[in-house]
Amino acid sequence: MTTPIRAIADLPFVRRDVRDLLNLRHHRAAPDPDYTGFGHARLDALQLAGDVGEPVEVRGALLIAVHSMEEPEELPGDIDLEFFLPEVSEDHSVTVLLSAFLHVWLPLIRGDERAIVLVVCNPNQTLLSAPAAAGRTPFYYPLGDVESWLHVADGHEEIRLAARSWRCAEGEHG
Amino acid sequence: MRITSNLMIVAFAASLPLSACDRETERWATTNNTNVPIDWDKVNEAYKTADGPTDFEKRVNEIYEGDEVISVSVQDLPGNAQVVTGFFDKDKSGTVQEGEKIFTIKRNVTGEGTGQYQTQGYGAYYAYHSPMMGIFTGMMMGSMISSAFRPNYVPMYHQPYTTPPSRVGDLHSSRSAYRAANPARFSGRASGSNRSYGAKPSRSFGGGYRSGGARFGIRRREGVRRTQQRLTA
Repeated sequence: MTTPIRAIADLPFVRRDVRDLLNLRHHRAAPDPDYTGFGHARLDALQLAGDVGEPVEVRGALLIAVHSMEEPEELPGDIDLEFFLPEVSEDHSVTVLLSAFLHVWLPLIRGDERAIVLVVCNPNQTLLSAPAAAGRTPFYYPLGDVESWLHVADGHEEIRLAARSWRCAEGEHG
Repeated sequence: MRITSNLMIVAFAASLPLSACDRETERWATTNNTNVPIDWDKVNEAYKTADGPTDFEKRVNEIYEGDEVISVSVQDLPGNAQVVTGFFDKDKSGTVQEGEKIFTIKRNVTGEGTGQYQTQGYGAYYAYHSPMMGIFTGMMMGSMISSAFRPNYVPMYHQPYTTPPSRVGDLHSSRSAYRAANPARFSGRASGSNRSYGAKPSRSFGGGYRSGGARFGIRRREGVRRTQQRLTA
């Protein structure tokens, strides 16, 4: 057992290979609903797919992958997140508001990305504002649950995030 | 850069959703070793509108895009419940054996003129679970379901109906004719046995396959207790 987390900044929110982060390393017929991994990654291109219309390609993205709590309370402009921390102890989890999490972490992981994509289930379809640290970089977030998929066709691989729909918020900041 | 961003936003605005219910369970699944997708929405619809087991098995085989023929078992249970099982009759026994199941559809009558059914995948399709789908008198339904709502309904399949092995050849032939009559749908796709007959998934991604990763919401896990800690700063 390691030291319990005392602050949001103590969360082990690290950069990971995108395939590990999105649980795409091994083939499975459907997304794993019990996956609890989190972190951030950068990738050249990905597709954001909604229930309606063609997927939208986003290039040069910073991906922030976190998990909403089960049955999160409806909060205006915010989502309750939950982080499982087996390194602290088995089935130990930490909850934190998305706004507080991004306030701490986004400035620490920002680079020269062209877009920020928040990967988190948003079952209450909460409308979000771009966090201050996003500046004028487009901030994409989902409405509804999010699943990651790897599409393979003609030797070409494509990472796709599927949600009910995706929104883009652009900050007033920066 | 600025122009690009704005164009991206415009593209998004054009694809915003119109409906508000939760995202349904993913309707596509792909087998581990054959890459043959099943359009579960169509399977569910086929059950709802079928006029009987033989009609259903014909429809299911038209939906399925692999080489194998799907056999069907239909069994009525007490309380006007019904279980329909789709399976690959690999041993040609005419019965459902362990490891042959592809899906089950369970139907219950919940009240006067109302019921529900749910589909569950098995084997390579294990990940598919449909939502519970309501049915009620007045809906467009085939007699396979609607007959259960009749006051004088007598369940016919206490002794299960199962696709006879002798019918598998006929199903294969009628499906081949169906595919030949629908070349736009079945064109240039490799089958489960790597012979090309044609089918392209209607939700196209270029004739390839896709692999599921993760869902990004914590799900309740029965029997798992966790210690939860709240952080505010």
